[in-house]
Amino acid sequence: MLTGTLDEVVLGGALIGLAFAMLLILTGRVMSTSAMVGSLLGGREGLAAASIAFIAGLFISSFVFNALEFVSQPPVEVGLPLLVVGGLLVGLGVRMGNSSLLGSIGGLARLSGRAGAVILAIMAGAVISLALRQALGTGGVA
Amino acid sequence: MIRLAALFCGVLCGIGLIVSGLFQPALLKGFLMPEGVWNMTLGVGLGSAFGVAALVLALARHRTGPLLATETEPPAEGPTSKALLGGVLFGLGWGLAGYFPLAAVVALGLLAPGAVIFLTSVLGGMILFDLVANRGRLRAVGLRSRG
Repeated sequence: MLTGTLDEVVLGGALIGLAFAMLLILTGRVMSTSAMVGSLLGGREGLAAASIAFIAGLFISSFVFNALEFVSQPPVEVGLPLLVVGGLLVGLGVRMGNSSLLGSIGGLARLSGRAGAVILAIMAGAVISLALRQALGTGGVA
Repeated sequence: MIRLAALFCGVLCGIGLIVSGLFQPALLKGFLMPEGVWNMTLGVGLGSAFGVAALVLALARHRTGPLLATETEPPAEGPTSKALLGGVLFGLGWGLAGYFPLAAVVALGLLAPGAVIFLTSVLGGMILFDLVANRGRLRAVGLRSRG
């Protein structure tokens, strides 16, 4: 099964892929958290501005979709502790390995074997924590 | 101009994440550890993203540099243990919280209550790593491969 229709999922995914390719071709930048958020923590001249612009675009599009009531908020899946611990782990991982999800999907599209290995590592980590959540019965609020 | 291009790509990516539904926190569990029917949204959506990115980049492969900047960020080198461990940590966090960072930015635009907490924690984790790795000195962005 799919959450949306097959058309929506394929079209939406295609737009994400197009955004990755265009950002790389136009600006030379990789569409990933490590590159985008990372340059806000200090980096080469001029890159932070482009990152802020990208993140602003991401935010604006969803804000407008929300204002027009085309899309509703996702239901809250987990409680505060899991959001905080999960966020910290993601941040550590991003900084340690320059590893992020969309960055790796795009990296794979650039025929990088490393990106494929990182995607498998991400999925392995996700299986472990999902199993942990299930075992501890913290599907809802931790 | 480069900012305008980045803004446009951000809008495109945001629309993609919303239309596909890929920003939703429930998808990861439904894909990897479904209860009942298997939810293939994550795989189909990311597969589509991969396919289009690969196609467009293949069409543009003869280009030597980016149109609006001086250099292209190279793909990082081989699967080092740091990259893999970083990936596992990323996956652990994604599994716990349900969000990956760019999805959480979209959720923030939808004013979802958990998104701001998650994103603040991600920033905290990134800064924490820098502090530990450099003993208190924030390092420059990891845009270049650092061996």
